[in-house]
Amino acid sequence: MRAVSYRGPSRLRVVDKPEPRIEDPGDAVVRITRTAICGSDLHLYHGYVPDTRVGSTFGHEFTGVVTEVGFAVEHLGPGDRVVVPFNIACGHCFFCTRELYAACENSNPHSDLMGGVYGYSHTTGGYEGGQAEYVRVPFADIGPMKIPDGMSDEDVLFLSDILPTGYQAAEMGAIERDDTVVVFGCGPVGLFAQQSAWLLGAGRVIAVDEVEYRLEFARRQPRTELVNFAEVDDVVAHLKRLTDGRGADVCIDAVGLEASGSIGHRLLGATMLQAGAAHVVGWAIDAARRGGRLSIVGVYGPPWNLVPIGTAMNKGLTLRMGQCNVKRYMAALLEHIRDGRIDPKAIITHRLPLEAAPEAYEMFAHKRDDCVKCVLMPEAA
Amino acid sequence: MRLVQRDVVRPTPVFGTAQPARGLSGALRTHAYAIPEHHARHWFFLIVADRVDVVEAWTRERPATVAMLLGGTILAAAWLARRR
Repeated sequence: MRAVSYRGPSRLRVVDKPEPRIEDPGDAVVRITRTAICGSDLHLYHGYVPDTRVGSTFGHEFTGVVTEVGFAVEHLGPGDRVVVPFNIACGHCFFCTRELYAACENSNPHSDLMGGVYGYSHTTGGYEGGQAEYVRVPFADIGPMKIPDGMSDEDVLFLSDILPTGYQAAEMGAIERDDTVVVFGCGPVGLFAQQSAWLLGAGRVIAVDEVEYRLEFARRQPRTELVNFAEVDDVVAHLKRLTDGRGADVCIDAVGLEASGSIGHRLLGATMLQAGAAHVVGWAIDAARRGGRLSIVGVYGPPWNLVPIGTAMNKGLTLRMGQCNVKRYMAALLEHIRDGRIDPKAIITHRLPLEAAPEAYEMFAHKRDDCVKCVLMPEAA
Repeated sequence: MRLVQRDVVRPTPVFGTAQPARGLSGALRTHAYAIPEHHARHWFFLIVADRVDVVEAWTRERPATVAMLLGGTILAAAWLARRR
């Protein structure tokens, strides 16, 4: 089969690989129909995630058709169309029974950091990802959700990660009616966090980015206020001016470790003195009001970052963060899609063949051609 | 250092089939895995292993280039030694 193969920082190739096979009775093999490039894939692509081995196939947002199942799989069969959460979860461990699927202790038993993830380095289990023609899906009775008849793959593709991640970001902010919510980042997760904040009753949503075409995407939610941080002297001071000098009730970091906007942080990240740039967390802490809430879904990595934790402590902020527990949100968000309250596929700006993956990554990484979300289509699809 | 007993055995090919650790990068990874994750050394060795892995993959894919570079280096060293 054809699959994307990591060759080193900023280098990918599409190569022939052996097709996956059933390795455990609970596995399924899925033929990929749609597979997206996630912003967090760029952290792998740029070599920021430890234990990313040459030859790895990335990709944790995909839909497909089941072609084969292990003998222990009861709820899926060949021919089923599925959307697969990026978390690989056993469904019955200490964490899964508490709906903390991202922390599953059986899908990545060699690490204390987090559970398994498709195509996201050996730090998250060493699983092959979905930017390929086929992928092995472990614990197939637990993660995958059958795609309802009448819905297209692209209708539900983003239930695999970015839509639930954006929603969880807003939910972790414990938004109360008429709260002011600042969302840092107008990438796909930021856009969904902004929509989710409105759904959860926010009174104001302020979107922050520096990329004009992404701010234009945020403008599609008509009441969302926009701040281009490159056009203001001091983004935190500006946000405070917009919030009566007090700060926002809720700040959401939907950016993560490759943020632009601070040369110092970027330099420390590039030289590996910290794990990427973390100044957006600092902005969020500074822009939140005293006693406010901070929700972090932007991805950061080990071992450490420079974050003003003293400011957060003294302001009495509530910090919540984490990888999304996708399965927990899939059913509810499916209803939002079905009822037309959210149209996730509207953020797709590019549809390309799998063979164009190296060019697609480069375009996405450099924000060329007004790229917001890129979906790859294997030839077999 | 494992703190929790897991009840499912090896559902992931982490040290196995997908991209088995090998060569110098593999030795570095094996060393890193022996250090608990709450020590920065663990991550440092993995990041170094990642970079070594890239160089190893490059040399595996270009044996002729590597042979030429090695041969050239040996010849240059021999010529320099003879000049002294």
